[in-house]
Amino acid sequence: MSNRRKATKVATVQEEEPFTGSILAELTALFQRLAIPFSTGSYQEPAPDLYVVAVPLTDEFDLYADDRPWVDVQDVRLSLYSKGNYIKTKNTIVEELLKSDFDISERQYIEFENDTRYHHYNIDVSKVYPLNLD
Amino acid sequence: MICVAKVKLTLPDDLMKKLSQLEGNSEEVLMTSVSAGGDAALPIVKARLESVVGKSTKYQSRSTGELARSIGVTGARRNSKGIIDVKIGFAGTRPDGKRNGMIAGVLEYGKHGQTPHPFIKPSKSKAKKAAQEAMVKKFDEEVAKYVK
Repeated sequence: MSNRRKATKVATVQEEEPFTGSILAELTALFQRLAIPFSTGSYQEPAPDLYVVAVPLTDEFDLYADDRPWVDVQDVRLSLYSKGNYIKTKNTIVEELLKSDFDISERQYIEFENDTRYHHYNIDVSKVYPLNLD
Repeated sequence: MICVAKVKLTLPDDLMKKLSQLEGNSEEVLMTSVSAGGDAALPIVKARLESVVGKSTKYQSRSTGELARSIGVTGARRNSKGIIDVKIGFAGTRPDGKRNGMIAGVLEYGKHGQTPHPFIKPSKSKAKKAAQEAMVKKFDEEVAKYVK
């Protein structure tokens, strides 16, 4: 299990705003690069044979100093649904996530859904965004 | 000629006595402390569960409260690796024959056509803090009982 509290990978500051990044925006761009259908929350029917849904988990402040947090840690659950072999897609996604400096805290095969014929695989990711509160 | 320094440490008698008093009861102290941690974490997970059940459903929610009633915590025991732990989980079978554990899993992880409503993972950090505080408090109480 990765220990995100010791992670040194911090997202580059994008703009001069207090909250410097959005994990959902970065994931949207990532899955566009991979040409994998991606949606937040749920996928509208009819869903393709391969798609990913992202659900935000938690946002936490961390690294307190001078009575305020210095980073925003954002957690998201990615649910991969695939009819057919999911392993290659899963590996491609994991590789791209790691290259893009996401922390992966969990990877879990959930089940093969007999009624829908989808393999369901979950990947929990997080990323640390610096806060610009000055 | 080689000179080797020798150091002899002698603990104070009363500290030695206290440690030996605790030694025979350490297992009980540890089990009680870990149980207290589980008891502290349970309401947090349950509250999170209750906040997601019946929300954002395609059709009107028919929630009966069965899942919330089925959540519980085990007693402390040593696992196969010798580590003392407790587990929070879901017991029992519903009237339709489905297991509460399976329903909790679908709620947490979702399925095709059903959005996940995670409640276990988001509970972890709050529950961890509450559990740690409860375990430390219980540990100190238990040690004070045996070490006088």
